[in-house]
Amino acid sequence: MASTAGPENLDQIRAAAMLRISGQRVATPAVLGGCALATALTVALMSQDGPRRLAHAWLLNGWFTLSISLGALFFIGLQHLVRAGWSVTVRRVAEVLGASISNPLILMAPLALLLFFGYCGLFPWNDGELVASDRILQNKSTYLNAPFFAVRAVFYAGTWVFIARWYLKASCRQDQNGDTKTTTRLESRSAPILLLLGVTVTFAAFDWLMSLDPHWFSTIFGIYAFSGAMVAGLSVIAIIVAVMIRRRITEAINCEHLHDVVKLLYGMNCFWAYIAFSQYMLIWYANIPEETVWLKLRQEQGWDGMQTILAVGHFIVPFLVLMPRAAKRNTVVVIAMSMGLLAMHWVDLYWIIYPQFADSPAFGLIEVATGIGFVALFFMLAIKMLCSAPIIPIRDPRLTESVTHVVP
Amino acid sequence: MATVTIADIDNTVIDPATRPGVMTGRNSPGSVTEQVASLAERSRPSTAWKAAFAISVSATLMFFSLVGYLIATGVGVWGNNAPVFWGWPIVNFVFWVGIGHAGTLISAILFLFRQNWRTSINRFAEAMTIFAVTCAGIFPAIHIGRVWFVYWLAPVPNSLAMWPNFRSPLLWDVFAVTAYATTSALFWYLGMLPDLATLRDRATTKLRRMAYGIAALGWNGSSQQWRLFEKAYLLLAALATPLVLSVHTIVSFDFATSQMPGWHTTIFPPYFVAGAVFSGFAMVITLMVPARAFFGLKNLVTLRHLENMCKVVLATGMMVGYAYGIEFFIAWYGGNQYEQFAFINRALGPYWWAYWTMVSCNVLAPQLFWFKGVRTTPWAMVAICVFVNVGMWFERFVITVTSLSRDFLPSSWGYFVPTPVDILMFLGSFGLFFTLFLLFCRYLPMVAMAEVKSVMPHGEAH
Amino acid sequence: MSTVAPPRPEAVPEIEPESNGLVASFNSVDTVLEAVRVLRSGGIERIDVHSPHPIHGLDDALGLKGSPLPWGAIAGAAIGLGSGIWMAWWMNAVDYPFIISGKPLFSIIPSLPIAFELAILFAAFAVFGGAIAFGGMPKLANQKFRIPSFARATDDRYVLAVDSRDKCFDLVGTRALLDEVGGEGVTDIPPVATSEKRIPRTVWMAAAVLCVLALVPAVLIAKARNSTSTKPRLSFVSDMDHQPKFKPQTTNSFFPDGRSMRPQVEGTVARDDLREDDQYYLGRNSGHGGLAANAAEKDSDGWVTAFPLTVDESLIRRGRERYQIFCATCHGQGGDGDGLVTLRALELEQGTWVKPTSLHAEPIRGQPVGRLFNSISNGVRKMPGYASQIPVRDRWGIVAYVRALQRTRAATSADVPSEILPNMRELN
Repeated sequence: MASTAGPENLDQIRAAAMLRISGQRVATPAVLGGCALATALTVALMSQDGPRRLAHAWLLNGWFTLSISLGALFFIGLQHLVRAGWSVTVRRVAEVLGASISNPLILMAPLALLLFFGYCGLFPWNDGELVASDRILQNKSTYLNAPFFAVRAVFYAGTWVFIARWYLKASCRQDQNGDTKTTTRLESRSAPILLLLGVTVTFAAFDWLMSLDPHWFSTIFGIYAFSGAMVAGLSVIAIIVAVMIRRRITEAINCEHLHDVVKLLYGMNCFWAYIAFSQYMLIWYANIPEETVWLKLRQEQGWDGMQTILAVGHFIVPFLVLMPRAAKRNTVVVIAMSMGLLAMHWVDLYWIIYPQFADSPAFGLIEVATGIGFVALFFMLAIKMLCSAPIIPIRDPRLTESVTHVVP
Repeated sequence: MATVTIADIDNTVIDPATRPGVMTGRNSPGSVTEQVASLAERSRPSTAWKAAFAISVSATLMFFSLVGYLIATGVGVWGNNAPVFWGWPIVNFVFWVGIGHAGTLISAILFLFRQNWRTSINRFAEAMTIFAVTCAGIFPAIHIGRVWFVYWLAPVPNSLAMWPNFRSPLLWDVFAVTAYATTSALFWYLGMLPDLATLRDRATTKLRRMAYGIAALGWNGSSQQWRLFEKAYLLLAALATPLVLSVHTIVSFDFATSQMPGWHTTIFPPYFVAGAVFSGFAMVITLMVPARAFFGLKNLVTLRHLENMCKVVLATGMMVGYAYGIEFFIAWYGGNQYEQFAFINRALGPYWWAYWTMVSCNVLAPQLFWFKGVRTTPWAMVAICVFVNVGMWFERFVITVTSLSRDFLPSSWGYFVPTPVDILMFLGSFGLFFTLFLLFCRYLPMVAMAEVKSVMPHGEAH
Repeated sequence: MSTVAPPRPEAVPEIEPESNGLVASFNSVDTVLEAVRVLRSGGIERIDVHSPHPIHGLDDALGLKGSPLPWGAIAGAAIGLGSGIWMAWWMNAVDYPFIISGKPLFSIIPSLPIAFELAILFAAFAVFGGAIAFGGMPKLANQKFRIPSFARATDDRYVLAVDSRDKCFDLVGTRALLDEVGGEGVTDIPPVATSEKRIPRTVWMAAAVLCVLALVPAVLIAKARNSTSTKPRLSFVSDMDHQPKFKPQTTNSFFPDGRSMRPQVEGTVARDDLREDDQYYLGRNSGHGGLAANAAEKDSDGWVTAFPLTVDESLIRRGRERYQIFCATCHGQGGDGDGLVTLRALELEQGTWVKPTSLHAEPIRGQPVGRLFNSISNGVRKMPGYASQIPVRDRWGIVAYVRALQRTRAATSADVPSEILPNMRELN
């Protein structure tokens, strides 16, 4: 049998999981992230058109880290909803990633605040003169205006933070009291929670990504954002699980769990490709100018190359590499492919956001520094929380099932 | 084993510390065989079966007579006319194809997700799939008008030196539905081989032994055969999962690649797939609840199976509701006046009754499944699922007819009215469906015996 | 449980085997797995377990490994994907190219749905076919089916079978071993009787006759496709082939003259058919009637030399437009005889192509306008007549435009209006 873990040594596993992971310095990522964001800010303010580029880089990296958390939240919700047993031991990782959502949200708040100062470098619909000369934008102005936008943003952020905190707190409380009713409650509330998550993520994607081009619209866009978030969230979970296995941090997390996480990641990545193809194909085929213009912009001036990169890197390569069973259980392959998928998710968002502002793909210090800043500050919070709680839900009633889980 | 726990009687009770059994009561491999195989072995069918079969066969005969009348006369016998050239036949096609999605979904996706409870219902659902796809395939085939040229749809070398148009979504549909019907049939047949062998080995008459013997292809249950069987089953499940998604996606392309307001919207592919699963599961419940009572399968197809299916109906119903909402929002947000008109016309135009039937049946009715009491009351779930089936038919009607009847040219606007032939053919297709289904219940193993045995606790003598 | 190795048969006498092996029933998974382990530790390799459902751990116990099915699936998928894309490309962009709603003849986007469906379909065929073929099916006759207790292998018993060809098989010893590990109802697998081994001759004969008969329709179809017939074809569905209407040039008993086409009523002229003005309609003076082409050999034969209608700017503009639509494809935009069709035909070295004479050649320049009009109406050499496509007035417009073209080639700076002249540049 692959795993030596069994119900006999469950107490050992619990004791080992209780040990706080020490030696992880939270200060390093915090300083690194702070410095990176400061550098980006400085560089942007010194160059012409820099602030506008920074706003887009900010949104890009903010949504990138946000989608990791959202993916993790969907993962937790789904696991509870279907009463999964196998995923109990990896759920803490997801809970922590979900709860780290507050950092990107706080960092993105200035983008919404800027709207009140009439900043329209990011969202053209905030430009009064443009709206006055554009009948379509006038009709949308009941929805696309600074106050309502901000109210919605606060609602989304509040909902997500509330859900994430609730999942983590309830689970940590169970670590202490071992109450099985907690599990029942988590499961029964996950259905409405997923509903709420689905609606908020859809409208957040409409607001923050789709309205960058306020004329353009696509009904599938919310699902597109959801599938991207699932890929990002599961990629990070897979990386952390693989690292834990390599470092032998706990017996409770082993290749069997990695295998199932990667299977889900594989499936969700195919789902992403399916949604991306559906959107592209329907717009391509009907060729209605008001929709096609969005794709046309992204097929010229070097953006077309990014499309090819996405098709190959986001779908074809992971699809072929992760197909064999052995690849899904190999930590090196999984880490490499998940890193690649995260990079591709970033490219995907870049391809959505940047053509609204840049004539051709631009990649420089501003993007790199903002990226490092957001990722460092995101993981700073995640590591801090992961170190201050048991790394698996030690009193979950289905822990035995998860520890002894074997992929048939 | 002497003590009886609550889970033996009611396996819908939730206790996170334990897993409820997939089946209730005391079952053993032998009892499963006896329970399922004896249904296919009865020498005389019951009176109820005979009555149902007589009605279904009459409806089928009516259906094929009407098909003959249609071919001899022309498609003018239907209500299709300018501007609604896609009327009931296409609505019926999408309706039946949608129902045909639950079977392969239960077989394939739930298999990949290791949902053991599927074993009790998958055979039933797969059979339903194949019969529904059969009904579905007839409608577009007779809709083409000159049926004797149906082979023009296939890339067959012909004396006109002409090839089909590979850029047409309607041709994709031909390939998709054909591939789906074929793969589903292979999947169903492969899964049934061991059970056919069981029927062969239990056969008491020479005719039955020969018939089941030929159908079972000489299955002997050797370890090599089981090994190949399991691998093939897994692979077919992995192939059928994207296939299920692709088929209704391509059906949605029939509409969404056009520029018709209300049809051209990017959410159609996932929305159609969710709707198909929704209607398919509703149909499984509608048929399963009476069948398990009638055939005495309550210990194999337990309340927990039904409850799980109700949850799937609720989940997919919410997805469909989400799509309705997003379509409306984007119609407003997009600012396209044609699109806005199409949606206002749906809700408030001449077909408002169809639209609100659709919304109440598909979005409101399944909300009752939030209550556990409803999810575990068979008659209630059948009632809701009948509503869902009605609602899903109306969904296709709303999409097809409201958009077409108000096209870009107001002078050609019209109001679609079905002819008696339309209505009788739709009813007749139910006759065909139920005829095939009743034959299945009579002669084939209704529950996948071998699969049920493989998820039972083993290792003890009995 | 005993793990003692069975007694090895030292010298097996060369006799007809009276048994193909042994079967024993077990009533639980655990006992049959244990029995397999015992037998294998005793050196017996040819073991099979027949069970009503798959048994986990049995593959390891029997030492079965690997499966070719995934490779079959991948090969099937690759073939399906390739053939789908190939069909979309070859059939719609190469062999039978036609444009549909402005879409490119071939693009990977709309080819993917069918390629995907075929990939799945072919992979499913490969998997299903592989499972059947490698599982030794269809094989309807099996000696084990003759053992009554074997029937429960598909019900609730686990039947272990040992093949007599195993090197460690020994009828007595193995039977004892099977009894020892708890096998119930240990039975011989009966050998195949010699009389049953052959398929009867009559079956062969019937099969051969059927094969020959099956070829008959194919041969008839092949013959029909490769021979001609004077009989009208059979049409099962008349399909608008025969319509209740009169076609031109056919007989018809309804009218006394037996013709379906009706002659013009005497003393009437059809609308637009009164063409009295020869100068305008034929490009020649009255008195030179008859078919114009017959009289075309003599340039002086009555061709109109002055336009029989007012030439103004709108006529020339109309003429230029018509020229560019109807004439320029062969004659070229400038009238040099270098139109795209001409260039293409010359490039393809079409032997029968005659390059159109340059409209600026001296003989053409000298032709009267009436003759030019006649050439457009009735054609010259390879050039077909355009009378049916271009209305009379437009033909005159083209003539006027051709005259203007010809004039440009012979123009000098004196022809240029003085106000434009300073803006013109010397060309080399």
